Amino acid sequence: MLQVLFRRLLQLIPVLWGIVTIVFLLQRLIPGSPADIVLGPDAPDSQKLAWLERYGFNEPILSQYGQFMLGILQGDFGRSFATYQPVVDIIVPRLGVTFLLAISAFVFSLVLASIVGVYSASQAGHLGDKIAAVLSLLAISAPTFIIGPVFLWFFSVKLGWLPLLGNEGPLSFVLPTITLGSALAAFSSRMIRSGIVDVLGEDFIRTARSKGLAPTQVLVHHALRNAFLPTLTVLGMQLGVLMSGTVITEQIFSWPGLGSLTLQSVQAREYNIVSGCVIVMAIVFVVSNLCVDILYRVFDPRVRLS
Amino acid sequence: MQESQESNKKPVAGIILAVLAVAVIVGVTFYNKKRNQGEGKKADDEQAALTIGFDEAPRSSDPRLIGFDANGQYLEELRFLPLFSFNEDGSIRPMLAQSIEPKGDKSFVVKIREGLTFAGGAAITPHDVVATYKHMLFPPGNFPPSPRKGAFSRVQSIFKTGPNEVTFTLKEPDAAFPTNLVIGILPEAAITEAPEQLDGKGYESGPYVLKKRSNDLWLLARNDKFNGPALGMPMPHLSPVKILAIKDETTRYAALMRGDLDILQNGLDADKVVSVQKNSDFKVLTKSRMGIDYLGFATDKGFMKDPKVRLAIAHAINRDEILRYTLQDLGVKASGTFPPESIWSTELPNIEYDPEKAKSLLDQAGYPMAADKPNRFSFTIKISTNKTRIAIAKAIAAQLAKIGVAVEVESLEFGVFMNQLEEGAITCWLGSWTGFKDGDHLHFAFHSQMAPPAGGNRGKYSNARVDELTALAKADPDAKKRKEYYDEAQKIISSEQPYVFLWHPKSVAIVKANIEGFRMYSDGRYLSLPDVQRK
Repeated sequence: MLQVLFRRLLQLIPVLWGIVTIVFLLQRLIPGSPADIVLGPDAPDSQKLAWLERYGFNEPILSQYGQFMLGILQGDFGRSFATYQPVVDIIVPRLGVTFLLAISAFVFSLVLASIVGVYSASQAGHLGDKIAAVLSLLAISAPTFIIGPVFLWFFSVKLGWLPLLGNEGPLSFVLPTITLGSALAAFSSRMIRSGIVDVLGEDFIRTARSKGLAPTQVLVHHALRNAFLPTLTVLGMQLGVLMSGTVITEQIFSWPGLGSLTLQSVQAREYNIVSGCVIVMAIVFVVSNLCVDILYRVFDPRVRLS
Repeated sequence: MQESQESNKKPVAGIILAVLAVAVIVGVTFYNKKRNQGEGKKADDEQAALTIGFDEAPRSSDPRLIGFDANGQYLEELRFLPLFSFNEDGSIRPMLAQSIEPKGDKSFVVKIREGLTFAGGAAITPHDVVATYKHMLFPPGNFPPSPRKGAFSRVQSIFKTGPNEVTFTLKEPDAAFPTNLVIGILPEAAITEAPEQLDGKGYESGPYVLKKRSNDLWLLARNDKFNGPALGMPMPHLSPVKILAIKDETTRYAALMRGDLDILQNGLDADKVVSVQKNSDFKVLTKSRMGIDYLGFATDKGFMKDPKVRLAIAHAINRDEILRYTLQDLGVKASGTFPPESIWSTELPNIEYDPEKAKSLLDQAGYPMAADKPNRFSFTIKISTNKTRIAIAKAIAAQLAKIGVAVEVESLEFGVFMNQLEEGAITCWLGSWTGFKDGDHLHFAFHSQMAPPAGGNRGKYSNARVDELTALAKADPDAKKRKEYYDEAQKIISSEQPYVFLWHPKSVAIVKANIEGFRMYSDGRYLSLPDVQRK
């Protein structure tokens, strides 16, 4: 097992190298100089040139790339152009906040999808199933930038039940979590429902029923466990997507996380911060996929890691 | 047997769920009530006496690093007093400086006020002023270059020349130089501090000190050592002041409606401002901004070279209509660069909406409406992604179509837009100038030697007399003569229309009805905050 893990971790190296290289090149290809953003478009050319020189932007691209890679290998993502703070110091506090939000959205999706999926499967073809299907379709179709403000307006402004902004206590998690996780919950619930309906026709389910098990036990302990494998793959990949997909949610709820930082940094041409954010998100994405592979083995012992 | 037990459990499960739901709702409501009453766990130091909404978090809190960031500059001034600031109408206002006098044509002598101190108790001296400016001009090797250095590229030397006197000597005459002396002064001892390491050390001299800051929240507290009366300012009535950065416009509006914000300046689009105007819980204040929105032309390219074409376009734009329906009257029709309140504005002819005259001018310029062509000519207006700008550009395109000019609108990300503009790759664009304080802005924007990267003449406008007049005004310390030079230059510019001067936008502040004393500044600064009180 440890050998397999080590091998999988080694595989991360070329993946991360590829991501880092693409990020580096893309940033250099975007029109617009960071000097224009930091110093203002009307700053004298001599000052802009001095600034670019200071940060090594006047050097050949290969040399810039070499220094960039060397820095990353040493855990040094550079410094912010605006505040000169180390990028790591800027990213780490925000990473925790985003991670909490992504995890809470993930757990919310998982729980809701399981409940709705099992319920729909048990009511397959009946009214309850149809209502769940319509609601799921609605949640999948509604973009975050629509449902976020709607929730915010209704629950925060009109009812005054929930906080509007930022990360201030457990209640402030509710709206961003639902906004971020509802589409995933809806999608996963449909997958679970289909999986269970397929499994319900299998011999082992018939055996369980003939042994006199309660319908709920059959659904949850036998059908759900087997129907969960394909959903697990999707959910695992979605954890990474949730991490990187917090950009809009964080923007709407003024959530001080990695997503909003990435957006601000792209606009401000903060190359170092953008690189740091993308690398962190890539690592989370790849690691969450690895976790899914391991969990697969837990759910289905027939699967061997290789 | 098993099934009957299941069916018996159903009502029990339902009751448990209902009880849980009620508990959650009651809990949420109770928690919320506690929060509102200031009994929440975070209520202690964050219970602000006044909350202000910003559209973006200030990028830096260090005067040595604050650059092209208006919100950073607004907060800087509230914490670190500069030599000069600006009054509500944009005129220069002494702060740490008592006076400034030109000495010859290249030097300025600044007298520093006596009796002012930093929050830590140390007196503010000329040494602090010299150290701050020298650090910005010549930062130590391990310190990043200041984004503001460019504004001081003409400075040759800065010296303490008397007990309370500092002399700035320039390499060449620049009568507008005093308007650059707006950098927050730090104690000499603070100059060796690392970037962004100035908080909580008593280095502030303004009405507020920084109590706390996180990514999107800044908490300012009253500076008990602030000598307000010496500067004609009161001690802040309300403290602490919370600054909340809310990037999303809809969320800012929601925060305002929810009562989370007391003041929101220039934070809403015109349509939402109109809706707030109908709400008696708020006052909507407006003030003409020191700025100009314009339609710019690359005057060195194709048909845009011809002043008749540019004038025709000016006559074809119905600015009243756009102001009324797109900007909800949040602007004042412009005839030149400076708004009427500015001391640099002058009487200029107003280019009225006259599509017939526009057509006639285009005919004269050699662009008649031919029977076999759908239009006289076509071009693209490029803009940034600001949604109001996009709406304005589309309205202009529709109006120009009426005189037979086909216009496409292309929206570009800000960095890309600026890059294309600097490289001269844009024929026509919707732009704005804001924050200028001196007539010298004409030199920066219209002198033929100030095309990018040297300056802001992005349309490469060239007129020998305008060059001469703006250069003369730059070198002349006599304010009256400078005004005469700038008046003449503005008349020439108006007749040649390198820009269509559209309107001077209005600043809009939405203030809770129970807030008093907030006064608006033409450049958006918050210098009236110490006066603000709650009824």
